[in-house]
Amino acid sequence: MSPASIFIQGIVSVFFGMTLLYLSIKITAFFVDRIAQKTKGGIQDDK
Amino acid sequence: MINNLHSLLNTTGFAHLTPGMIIMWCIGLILIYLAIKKQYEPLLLLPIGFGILLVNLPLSGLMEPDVGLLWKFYHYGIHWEIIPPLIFLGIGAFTDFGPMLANPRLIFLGAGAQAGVYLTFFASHAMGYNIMEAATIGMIGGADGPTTIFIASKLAPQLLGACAVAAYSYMAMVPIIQPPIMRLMTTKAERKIKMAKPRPVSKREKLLFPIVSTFLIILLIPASAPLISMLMLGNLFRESGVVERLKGAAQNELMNIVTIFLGLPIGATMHADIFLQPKVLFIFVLGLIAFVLSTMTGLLLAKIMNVFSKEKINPLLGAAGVSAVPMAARVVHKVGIEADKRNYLIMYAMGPNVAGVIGTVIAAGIFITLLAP
Repeated sequence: MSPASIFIQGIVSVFFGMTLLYLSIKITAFFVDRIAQKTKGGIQDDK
Repeated sequence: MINNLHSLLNTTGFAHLTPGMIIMWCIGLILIYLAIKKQYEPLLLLPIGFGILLVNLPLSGLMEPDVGLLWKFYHYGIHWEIIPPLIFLGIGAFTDFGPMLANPRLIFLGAGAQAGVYLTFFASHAMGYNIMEAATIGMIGGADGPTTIFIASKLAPQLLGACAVAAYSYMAMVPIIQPPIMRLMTTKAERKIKMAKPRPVSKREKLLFPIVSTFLIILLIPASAPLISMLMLGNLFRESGVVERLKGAAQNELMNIVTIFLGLPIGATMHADIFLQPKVLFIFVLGLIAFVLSTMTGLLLAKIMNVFSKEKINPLLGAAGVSAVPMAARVVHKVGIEADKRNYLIMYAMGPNVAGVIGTVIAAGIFITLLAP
């Protein structure tokens, strides 16, 4: 494998990995917020 | 009588001393001095310095394969890839990913700094190092000691000592290396940019992060599994709140023990015959270049993100993308405060700083995937 292709693959993979991580954080935050809101709503309903 | 004395002298180390060994003693003593007097990464540089002294005492046999004590530490600890992942367990137990979760777009700054790793890899290869050596040297720019050691043990064990010492030395010198580059690449107005208030991060998110990211990163780059799994297990200990003893052990007892068994054999790989070669010594120049390039690419990415983003990022945060935690974040804060006394950047800088740790592991995993025999 040539150094140039390792160079390109490396940079692309790091950014791709970090993009996935970014998306996973966003998605997790979204669902955690939803669950928190539902829980909150549930408590309010009980009241 | 004279013959007997001569034979006796030959059994001592004095008869086998070489000028190279004496030079290595000086290097070992300088590292010990820097550790004690200047407090430059003392936890590592002290045992590394002592390891250098030991291995350059003739006839000590401490690095003799299968027999020597330090060889056993090296073989079973580093060559078998046990110690660097255990260090990562401790790092995970120490790391609060909260600042990164609060401002997830700063993750990309942790990736930006890795461009310096690949640029140095490219430059090293162009200068005549073979492709595996070039990858190991480039890794110094990630500013992550255990990852550098991990990749060196896999790809270029002959460069392990030099790369580890270069990585830890330059990590200790982050407050000296980074500020001039940061001032050079940013305007005062940019350094004054105030960051938007980060969103609150719930405990549940912090708890889920190590699990989700372990799945994601290992599925994407399986070769990063030893490091990322231990990093995230340590973090899970921290965030779960139910295994305080394990968290404490990972942060303290285990971390201290593995640090001893990491530093000593690294120093012991630096025998005069191996270390005192122009090719090995030049690693210190390339390591510095790697650090400088990583800082520059981090800063540059922050500036590029500002072109496309409504909410501006203080570009200094890009310099925290190298994973010298928390030193790089502190340096960002210090340089930011110089421009505006009310601009507290430390909590924001911790985001790209811990993202840099993950980015470095991913970069190492890619090198191993593409190059490991």
